[in-house]
Amino acid sequence: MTDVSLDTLPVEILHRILDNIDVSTIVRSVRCVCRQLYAVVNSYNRFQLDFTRFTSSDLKAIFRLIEFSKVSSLVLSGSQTSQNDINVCLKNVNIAEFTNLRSFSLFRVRNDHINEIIQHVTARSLASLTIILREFLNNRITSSIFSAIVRTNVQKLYLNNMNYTNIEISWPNQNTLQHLTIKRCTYEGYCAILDNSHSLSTLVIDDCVIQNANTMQTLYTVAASNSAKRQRTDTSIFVLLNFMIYPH
Amino acid sequence: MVSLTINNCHMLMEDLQQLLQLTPSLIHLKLVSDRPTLDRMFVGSDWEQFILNHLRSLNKFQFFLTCDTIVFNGETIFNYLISPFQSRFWLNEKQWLVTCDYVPRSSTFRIYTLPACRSVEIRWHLFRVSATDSKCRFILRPTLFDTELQRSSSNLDVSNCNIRDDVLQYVVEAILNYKVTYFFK
Repeated sequence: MTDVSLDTLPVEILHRILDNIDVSTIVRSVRCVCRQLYAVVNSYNRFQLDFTRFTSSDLKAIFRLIEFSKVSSLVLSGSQTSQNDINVCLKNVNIAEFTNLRSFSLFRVRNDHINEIIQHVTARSLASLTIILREFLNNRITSSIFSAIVRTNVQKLYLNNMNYTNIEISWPNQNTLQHLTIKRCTYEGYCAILDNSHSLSTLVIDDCVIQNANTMQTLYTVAASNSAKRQRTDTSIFVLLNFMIYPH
Repeated sequence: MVSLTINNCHMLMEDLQQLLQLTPSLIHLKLVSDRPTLDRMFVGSDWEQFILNHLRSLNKFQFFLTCDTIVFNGETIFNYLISPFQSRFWLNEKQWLVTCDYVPRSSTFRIYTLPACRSVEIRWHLFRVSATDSKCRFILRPTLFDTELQRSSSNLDVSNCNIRDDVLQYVVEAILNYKVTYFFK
């Protein structure tokens, strides 16, 4: 076998290797090795920017050296150290420049920031959008997230702590969602999601809240159970056996 | 839609069934629920009938149901609950294995498909039923008895064990009455 070295590998393979290297190593080390690797890094368009991980010197290099149109994955977090504060990011980063984004995550960002950020997302085909809320979601933010879902053709949407209980804001009907995770919805909200999401294959929820006559019954059994827990005496196996033998 | 996960279900069985009828094409269903009482959701024959009637494509059903208001009076409870899950439908056609256990310490009864879709770490001694033969095992936590005591169960000294009297009663009864006793190392 002849000698195989890094510079004999095709550029596609080198890009696959870069997929597994952190951004600052790519732009501050790999890029500086030789002309060929410089060119390889320059043609690379799957940068993964996780702003929760950068030091301030990383940030400077990134803002200077990376074209945002070559970023495929972006993570912004509202709970960062002061130097990586989201305000700093927003000052230096124009979200609209991330035109080829495939994956976008917002962790515990304040609602006004979500609004500001989400309406500038211009990507046409987001494989995945993750928003972990920091505050209660109001109608305005919900609408702006919903319009972003349609505009960017999101396929996987994670709104892990979002409750879709207010169906005044209609679920977007032109969406391309295949995978959806939310916390809780009403029965009406559940129906609206199913009716309007024609590509949906996977739905993950904590619970669905049924708001009809049965709701009272649920509340009643929960209350009964709490009192049973306190007493720890009454629910006997024989009650159960009766129930099993003579089902209601 | 082919896959639905409900991680903390508070719905009544009737409401859940109503909800599931909206998606007859489901292939995968995962259901985790802490129930206030041993209600219809624990009834295997109900599930079997519902799946046969409304979820004909379902081929992966994972559930984990718990109820912590039960006072355990013997293993009869297991037979009544688990036997509907051991029909041809569950074991042969679908090959969904269901087991259940009871933790006296927290009065928690759990019934779930295997492999368990929620962590089932053994913190306390518990009664557990085999998924296929309905045999009940009593599983003891080793911290309770040192190895010496395990060897000579005729001389069980539990005076130093940090254990509630009512739980201790189960432990002693279990050792006396159950042929198969596992000691976890």
